[in-house]
Amino acid sequence: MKKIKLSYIGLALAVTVMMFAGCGKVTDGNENSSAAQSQQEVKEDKEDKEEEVSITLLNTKSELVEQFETMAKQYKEQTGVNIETVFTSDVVSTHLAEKYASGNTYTIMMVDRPDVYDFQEYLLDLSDEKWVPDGGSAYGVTIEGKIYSFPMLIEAVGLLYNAQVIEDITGKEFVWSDYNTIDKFRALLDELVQGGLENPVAINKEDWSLANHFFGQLYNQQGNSAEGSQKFIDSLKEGNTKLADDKRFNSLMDSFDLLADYNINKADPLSAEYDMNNTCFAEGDVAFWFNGSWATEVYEKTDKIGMMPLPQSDAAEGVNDKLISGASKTLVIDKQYTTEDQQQAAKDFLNWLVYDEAGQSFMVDDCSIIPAFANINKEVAAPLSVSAQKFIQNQATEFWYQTIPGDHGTEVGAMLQKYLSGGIDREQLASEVESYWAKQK
Amino acid sequence: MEKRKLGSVIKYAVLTLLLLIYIFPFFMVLINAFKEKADVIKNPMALIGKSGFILSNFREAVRKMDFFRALGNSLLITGSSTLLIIIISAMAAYIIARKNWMACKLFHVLMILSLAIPFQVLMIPLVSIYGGIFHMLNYRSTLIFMHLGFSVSMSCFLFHGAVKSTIPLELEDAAAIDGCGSFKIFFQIVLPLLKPTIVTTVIINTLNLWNDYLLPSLILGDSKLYTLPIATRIFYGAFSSDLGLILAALVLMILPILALYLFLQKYIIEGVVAGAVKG
Amino acid sequence: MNKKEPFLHKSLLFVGFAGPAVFCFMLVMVIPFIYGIYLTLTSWNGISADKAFVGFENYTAIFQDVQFWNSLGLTILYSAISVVFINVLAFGLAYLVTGGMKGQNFFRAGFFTPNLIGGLVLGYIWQFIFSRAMVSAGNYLNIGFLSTSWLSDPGKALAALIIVSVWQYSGFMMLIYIAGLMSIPKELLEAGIIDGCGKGQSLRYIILPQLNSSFVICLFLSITRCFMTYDLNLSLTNGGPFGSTKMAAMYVYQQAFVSKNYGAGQTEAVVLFLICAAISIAQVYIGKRNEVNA
Repeated sequence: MKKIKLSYIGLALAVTVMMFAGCGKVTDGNENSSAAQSQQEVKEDKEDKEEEVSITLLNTKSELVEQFETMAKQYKEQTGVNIETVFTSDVVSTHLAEKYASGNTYTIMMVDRPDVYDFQEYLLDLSDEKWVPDGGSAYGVTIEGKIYSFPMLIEAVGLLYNAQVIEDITGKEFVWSDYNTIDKFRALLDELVQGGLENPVAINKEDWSLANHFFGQLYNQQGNSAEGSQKFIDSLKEGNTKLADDKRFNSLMDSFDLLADYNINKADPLSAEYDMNNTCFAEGDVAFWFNGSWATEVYEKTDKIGMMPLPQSDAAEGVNDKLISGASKTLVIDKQYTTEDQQQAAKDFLNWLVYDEAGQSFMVDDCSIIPAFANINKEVAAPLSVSAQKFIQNQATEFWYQTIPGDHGTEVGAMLQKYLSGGIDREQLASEVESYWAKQK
Repeated sequence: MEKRKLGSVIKYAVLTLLLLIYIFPFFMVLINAFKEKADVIKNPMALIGKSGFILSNFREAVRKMDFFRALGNSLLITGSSTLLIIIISAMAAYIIARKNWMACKLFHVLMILSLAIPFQVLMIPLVSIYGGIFHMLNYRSTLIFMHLGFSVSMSCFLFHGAVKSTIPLELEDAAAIDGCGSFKIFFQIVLPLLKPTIVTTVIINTLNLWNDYLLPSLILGDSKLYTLPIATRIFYGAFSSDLGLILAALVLMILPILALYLFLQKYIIEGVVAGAVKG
Repeated sequence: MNKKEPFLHKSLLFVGFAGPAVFCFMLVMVIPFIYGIYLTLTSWNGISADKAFVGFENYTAIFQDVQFWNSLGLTILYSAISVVFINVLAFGLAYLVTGGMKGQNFFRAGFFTPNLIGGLVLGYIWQFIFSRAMVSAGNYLNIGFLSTSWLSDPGKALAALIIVSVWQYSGFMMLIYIAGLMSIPKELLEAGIIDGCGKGQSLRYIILPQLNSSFVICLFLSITRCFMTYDLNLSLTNGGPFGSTKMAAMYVYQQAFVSKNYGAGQTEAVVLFLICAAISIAQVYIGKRNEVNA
């Protein structure tokens, strides 16, 4: 009997000791957090030659996880600064909200443009950085005259095409500008159908794709400028725009209907998962996929992949020749919980990306990023990015309005899903979108 | 005789059919973990994908998620938390069940009510207090402490029921008359009799803690501390996920818990039977 | 036990036994909860350092939030159906596998396995099954209602949620019912047989009443879990198609973190908790009144 009692206590003690031993070893790994409070940890730091600076970087692109880790090692050898890269697939703003609430955040964070506005009070002002005139002011986020973000990469939204599949059927080389009106495009689709490709188009079902990318074109194509888009949004909020009568709205929905007609998932459009469409596109089951330049796994069968603007019936402002693009992911530096050394190290890192050969090579060659900076002359390798880059280099781009509200994806996305599956008609869609905007402050 | 046999056959048939339906998802996970991603998407029901039976998903998964380190973390956290939960919950449940004091009644009610609290309500306040004010985050021991806090209500609840209904008061009274103090009574008489409930509680807590993603992801920032569920999230991209890898990681994650469950199966039955015979 | 114990002795006993558990519970659940309530009195957006105090504004605003009440109604519907099926199935399975039949351990282990997979992953697997596996099987075998993904239709998506919940929780509840069944004193059953009870009567008059406490526990657990469903909701349907299966917990979460109305979202979460607690307590109270004392 006594043995039982002793063994229980013994076990509990052993475990408690184990616990503290276990967490003791890890305290060393905690050096990157709120530096002001962790003086003790800095003392226990093993690598204490001089004051070695350590910064953390939050990466939110799962395709780039390995590249960032390799780069961090390289950067350490080159400059002696330790960058710890962390990846999360959680929604960035929620993740960062938790981090800031817990007083422990990253030095550099890769966020989406709207996040810069939300977190602005915690971010470092980068207006005086060297790279601002080289692309920072054009592509970064400016709030009240100050620049808070470093445009990490440029992405484009539009119609992806699998030139190989098209050429196999039409027998001639595919040049996108030959089909940049809705009628020529429709004719091509018919030709593909007759050639055996029963449903040449893939449409995503995901709410962010339908609402933020496809429907977002409505906000983007308003004078090709931030002011133009903002004016349009403001008039929606005030209820001054009747979408059902709006030319751009109808033009976009005409194209949407066209794509939906030839949709490979027509029988059940809401089951069309991104991965499924990706595979269909890569394997040549469809020729066109409305998506963006970030699709990296589409080269399984052919390299002849490119992208083009969505052909529309209303060609005002040259929308049929301009590809919507913008800096979607940006880097920001925290000023709330970092030391001056860390902030400087972070700024140095950004400069390294833009001006150092190794940094440029990391962005363009390793990550296949289309850079936002005019001084970088490297050519990106991935065919989709090459295709998008041509538009950018020819100044044939359309503004990408990215400061839509956080719930635009879920709310308007739901409405578009209803439309896609035939639940509501165009007029109802118009009025539902209008009520959404009327609710926004 | 015939009737009983027929009844028996029907019983087996129904049970087997139900069992197949219950196990079917695991079967799907298993066969698809050995396929290439494209095969998983295009032809999920096929036993073997067009590209054949591959082991690379497992190798990749182990490498990318730093599997063994995450496994170690999960084992440490789940193991120590469960052990501590059992001990402190059983003790608390004992005193709450036996004594009629205000404090006992109060906490009993509070703990039961807390079972209905959604985690969202506590999420941000929790990290604000323990991170923002006390800077206790990013330690595994903090996580263990929080697991205790969240799990005692349920475990106390189970032990309370067991003490009230299966431990005869006479035994304790007899021991008290013999001069045993409360602690002695608890550890030498009551606790051994609670074996079936202990086993059940071990299983329930181990399962909860092993698979818990949200709380550990909030507390543990350093990747060296990640538990298995957090490590697995690396395969979920913003737009798409590598299904083959995810499924392989899932299989790896389930194996230890499955082993534990099969091992404990014996004890549940033994324990429950012992309880029934004595009761 | 002894009538008058000195207060010091009582306190020491209480702290000694319940101390650690109460300590952890208070610090991890109660205090953050109180802080959480404080936050419902602010208009915080979840991010800013500025938490403006607004009193009970959030609470009065709830009455105008139609979507919240819709999602609550949906949650109640879903919970009611799920709880019934979970418990009926769990009890049925428990009854079948405690007769002393061959291989019952095997069956018990099998039915419990759904609990081995946690939250999000469970949903992803079933989403995979509903939208890929079943569809491909349906197309292959030409079964109409399986050929399109159940998750694209609001009614079927809700059915899918219910099916997965039942699949997930019935094994767990089965365990509780088994323990309950096995603790019924053999003498009672034997007395029933001597008195001439058939299987059905035995079930109705002896077994079910004895299982009252198991019912109370299982109902309590299944009601609270179904009411607060979030992980499964997120990974199986993500509130879709077009928001038709957005349960209360998901709606509240999105309010707080996606729409950046943390104060409002937190308030709705608290109200949700109160409603759930009220329902559960009512159920436990009714159950306790019917209890047969052993």
